Amino acid sequence: MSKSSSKSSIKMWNKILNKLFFGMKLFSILIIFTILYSILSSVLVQAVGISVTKAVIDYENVLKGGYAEDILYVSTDAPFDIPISYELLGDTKNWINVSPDLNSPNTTVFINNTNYQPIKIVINPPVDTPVGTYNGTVRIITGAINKPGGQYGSQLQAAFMIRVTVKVTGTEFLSCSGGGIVIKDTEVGSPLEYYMTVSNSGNIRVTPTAVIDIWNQDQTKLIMSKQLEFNSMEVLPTTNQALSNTFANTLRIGQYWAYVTVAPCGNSGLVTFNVYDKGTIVDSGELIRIDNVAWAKIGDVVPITATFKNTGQRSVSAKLKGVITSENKIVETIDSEFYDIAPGQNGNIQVYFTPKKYGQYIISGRILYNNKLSFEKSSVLNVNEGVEAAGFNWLYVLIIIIIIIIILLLLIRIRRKKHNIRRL
Amino acid sequence: MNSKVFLIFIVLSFAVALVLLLPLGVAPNNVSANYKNVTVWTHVNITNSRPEVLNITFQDSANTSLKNITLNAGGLKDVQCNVTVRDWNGFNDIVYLNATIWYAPTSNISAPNDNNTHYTNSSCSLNGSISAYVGWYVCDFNVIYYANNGTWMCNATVIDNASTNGTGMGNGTFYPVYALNVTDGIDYGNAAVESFAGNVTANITNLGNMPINITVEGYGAGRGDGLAMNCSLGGNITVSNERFATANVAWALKTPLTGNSQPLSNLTMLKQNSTALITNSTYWQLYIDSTNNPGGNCTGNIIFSAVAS
Repeated sequence: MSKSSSKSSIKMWNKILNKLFFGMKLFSILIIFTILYSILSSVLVQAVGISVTKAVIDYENVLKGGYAEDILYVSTDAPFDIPISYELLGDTKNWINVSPDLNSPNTTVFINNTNYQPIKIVINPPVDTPVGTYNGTVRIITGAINKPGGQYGSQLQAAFMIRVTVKVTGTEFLSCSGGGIVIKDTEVGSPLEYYMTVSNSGNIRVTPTAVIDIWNQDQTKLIMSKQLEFNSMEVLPTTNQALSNTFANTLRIGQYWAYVTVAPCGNSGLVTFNVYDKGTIVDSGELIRIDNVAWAKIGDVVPITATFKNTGQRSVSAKLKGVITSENKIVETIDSEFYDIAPGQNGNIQVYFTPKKYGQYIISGRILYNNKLSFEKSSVLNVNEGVEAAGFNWLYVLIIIIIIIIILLLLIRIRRKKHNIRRL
Repeated sequence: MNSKVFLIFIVLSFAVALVLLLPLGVAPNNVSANYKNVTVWTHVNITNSRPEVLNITFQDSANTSLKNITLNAGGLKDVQCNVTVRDWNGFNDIVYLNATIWYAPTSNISAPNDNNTHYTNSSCSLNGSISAYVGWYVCDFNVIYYANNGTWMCNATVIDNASTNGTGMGNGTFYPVYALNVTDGIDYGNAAVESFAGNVTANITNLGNMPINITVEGYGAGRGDGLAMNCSLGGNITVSNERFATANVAWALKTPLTGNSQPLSNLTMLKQNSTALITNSTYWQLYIDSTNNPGGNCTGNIIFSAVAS
């Protein structure tokens, strides 16, 4: 009895000690975690950065009373909103406009780690500014990026001083270029939409116009010519302007080529566009590539995979159509089954080909989707191993037929001879 | 009997003729009598041709029309070399393409990898084809913020199934990035009037790829008010009672703060050149002057202003 009671008391003490030890372990782990957390949080959370992409801006050949602009980007790694403002200093402070107006009393511009801020620095030197070089500074300043907690403390703000140099001239010069010309596909009876960008690298403003000549698919016949206007829109010096407009047309279904000349820049460009039947414009897609192994043996079954991207707004039923050629002769035609491809998705369309001869095969194909054809893509298959099947020779057949006929004739002759002998 | 022998003779003659007419495995050139019709048996043996790099374009992966690239301050930027390749055995004959980018003025293709000047990618991926022989590959590089600004080269080496290779080169530009990182506010804690509040450290870090200089200025409630702090129960502390230094020195050796920009003397913050961040410390101290009766909690503002060095 006494032994058992002493055993149970030992067990009980063991349990108590274990619990105590476990509790102490837990407590010390908690303390370590707390210390680590406080160290890490003080290191990682409290620092805030601000960055600018340009800290020096030079404006060359700015006309007296003219215009020039440049854009800089301000960003931060702070996960919270930081207000920004600006200050102007130096010779140029009365000529500079900042857009958006960071100092507007009505709106506050914020930056955070998901929202950087483009800032346009615009220079307008007065008409009576003497020719020369002028220096100034634009200072971008953040609001307070932290708040101290004690009785005495200072909030910190970050700022960037952007040096501005302006060279003022009295000489005008024109320099511009037009590019990015696009005419969108349209449907029969709908207007043609056209887009282009004009870049003004001179120091006077330009009012661009364009002439568009539309040619047929073979570019052998001029279908129509049109003077394009952009509502007298001006492109200021040092700026790029995207221009667009539409015009009515009577073009039939088909592919057309447009030769566009931009005035006064003098650039020109050739673009193509299609006029489709009504209701078909919503389907669009791109044959990205045709894939297959580059090398194969005669008799190999070679998978050919066409990757098609449905860039339209609805699902399309797509198939690969094409030819396999060797030495400019068609060896086989390709006509796959239809595959359904969802909008925005890539689909793989597969066919198989077994080469029977040595040579280089060109696999060319287009995707037929909802009665539209993609641009053509192609790939190569090289075959230089394996055994070619023997060709069929009509000469042998002819010889065999002749032999059979002669044998038959001889047999008939022998029979007749035997028959005659019997009669005799 | 004679007829049977004749028959056997005829059959054997044709059989011999047939055997003689059969092709013996040699491609014969049969020349007709008038030398006008010539039949040539040909056997095409496709051999390997060396792949070529036709063009390399440097681009920002987030906006592939941007050829001049702005790195992400304090972070990484995905930069791409877009490589156009041609192989007369088909673009699909290419099995491997690797690319290297390096800072043109000081590095070269065979230099070791260095976050400042040299990166390699040995697993570029096929992105599309232009024709049966021409395809284009994309090679991605995660470029760190302190990579040198200026002209960078991109070299690509393409290898085909027969292990023959071709190379090409392109170039691009990384723009300068100016970035300043400032730690938490300066907290002097509690202090009695007519005493010096503790020596507090404020850390500043250059997170761009350009050297910067730093200026500081202070104000209480509004810019140019000549105060270091404004207090909640009235009163204030004048700006010159707050001092700073770039070394941990005594109050007397520290520079009094003003309402105008003052440079942190002898401090040009160079760009980082490794992942071990170099931070510059500034040391701040405050004298609680009783002249303007500071009472309650007093707070002020200090502007750390960066300027291109």
